[in-house]
Amino acid sequence: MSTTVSTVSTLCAMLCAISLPISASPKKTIFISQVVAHPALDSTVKGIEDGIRSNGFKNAEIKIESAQGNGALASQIAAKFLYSQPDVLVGAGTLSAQSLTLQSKNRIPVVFSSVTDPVGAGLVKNLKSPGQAVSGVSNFVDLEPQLKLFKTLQPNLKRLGFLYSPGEQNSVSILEKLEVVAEKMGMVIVKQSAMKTADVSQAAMKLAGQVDAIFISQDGPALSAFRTIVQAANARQIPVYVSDTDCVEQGALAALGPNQYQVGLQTGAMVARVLQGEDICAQEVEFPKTTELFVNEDAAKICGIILPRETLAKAKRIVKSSK
Amino acid sequence: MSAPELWMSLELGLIYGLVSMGIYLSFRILNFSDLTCDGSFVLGAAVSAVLIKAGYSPWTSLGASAIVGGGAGFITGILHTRFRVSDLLSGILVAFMLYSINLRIMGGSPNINLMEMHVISTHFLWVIVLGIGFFFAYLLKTDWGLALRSLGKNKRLGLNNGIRVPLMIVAGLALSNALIAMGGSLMGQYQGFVDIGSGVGSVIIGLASIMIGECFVPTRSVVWALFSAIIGSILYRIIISLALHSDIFGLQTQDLNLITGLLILTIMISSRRTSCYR
Repeated sequence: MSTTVSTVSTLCAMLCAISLPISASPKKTIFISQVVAHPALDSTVKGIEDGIRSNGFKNAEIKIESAQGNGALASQIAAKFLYSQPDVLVGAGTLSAQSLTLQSKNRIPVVFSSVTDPVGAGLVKNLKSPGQAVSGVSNFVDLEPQLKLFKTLQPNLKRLGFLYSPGEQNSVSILEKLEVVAEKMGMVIVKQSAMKTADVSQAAMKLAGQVDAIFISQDGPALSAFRTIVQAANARQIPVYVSDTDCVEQGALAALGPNQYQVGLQTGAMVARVLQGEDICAQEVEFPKTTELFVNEDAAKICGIILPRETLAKAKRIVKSSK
Repeated sequence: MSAPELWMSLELGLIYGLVSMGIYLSFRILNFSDLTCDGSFVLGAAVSAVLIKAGYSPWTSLGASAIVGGGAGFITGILHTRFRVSDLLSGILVAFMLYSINLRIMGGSPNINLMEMHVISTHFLWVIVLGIGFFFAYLLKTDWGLALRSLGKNKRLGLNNGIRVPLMIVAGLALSNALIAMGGSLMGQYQGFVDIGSGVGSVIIGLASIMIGECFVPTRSVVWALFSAIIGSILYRIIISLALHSDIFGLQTQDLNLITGLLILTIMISSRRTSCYR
């Protein structure tokens, strides 16, 4: 009896040993902690998911949790994630990336996404070599080309309004850089804060009366209430510029940048590289690779702006109503 | 739920225990619906983050956060007692204004990171929170504490007994917000960063903790009630940890608030049924 059992068990063991290498590589698990749910960040997270799946990890197990903008909850999510020992942790947004980094203590690679200033947030020592098991994709889009574009569309552009939420680290660090670049190009930045989605319409209305154009760069509350900004600007016949190409369809005049989905795809690709065994410590922090120009002819008409032919030729997409 | 998660719930619960003790002081003892909490929590965190960044010791920063937090409570108290603004409104207004002040303190940046700075070690959390708890328990046992407690029960009686009611309300609110600000300071140090949005909902968290605590430790003693606020806060964190695991039932992350709320209700209702209390 005992011999039969042992034979059977040996056989089983042998079968297992043979079948293991043949069957697909063990399923990878990726946990994503997203700081808060708003349309821009949601599309980044969607991009991360698709990026991982399209880079050879079709069956990866991907779990997403939202910290609802709450730091304590972000920490608890991080603790829960770490216990499950996933292959890679992804932090979308500054707060989530920070709590994952602090909790993981280099045990599990952390890839961040949609963090405008990773050095200032304490995630990496410098952009070239992160120095610990943390790297990722920043969503910072170079400001100078964007401002040059605005100048070509509006040669008389002097006062550029910047609507942002002072509670968002990403927006504040963009503003700091924007003020430096704008001064070089002879523009004045008129800043206007709007803390919540509910404050945006009033703030936009006030700002529209003071400036030649409004610029929105990846600010959660402002993008969530984007329609109201366009309405306020249209009433004064001034254009709205954005860094997120998705918003051009919603009435912005032009955008030179990535869309949040592409930032996500790029992050997903980095996650896939780490899953394939590349050392995360050797991954440079990336910036959006593909910047595209989107313009909106309807918006141009409202503001009385004639789009130069070169700009139209460069545009990846021209939005116009079928009328 | 795993051991590290449980441990983290304990630590977070201790830190938020300071907040719930502060809220116990204002809502229960003073019977003053003080909503300054959302602002003073971040105020404490902001002040200590800036001081730590400037090279001060984390202990100094904890003390400083208590002082400025007390200042915030003082202003709420003055608004109410001196200028007759209603209790709810004075708290809301001070918390509302603190948002801008906190951003100023943080130098315009909504997120300060404290990673790799010298902060108070988590081993001291027990000592700090329980120490403060004992101190306040003692305070409430003194004649002064008794006077404070009488106000929440019957203001007129206190007045007739020669208690300077406005002064006591201001002092009570200052103490309450000092506690909350210290909670904010410890939270910032624990998480490694301070975010301007971190105070949102702390009143609700604190109140829920108190009520959970009251269900588990049914008591008439004020000292026990104070400690039950800490116990409630720890339980609250454990409940959230459990709710985070509800995904095995096919629930999603956006359902978290609903699950947490239902768990809290279940605990409160079931313990009320079984306990001898009432």
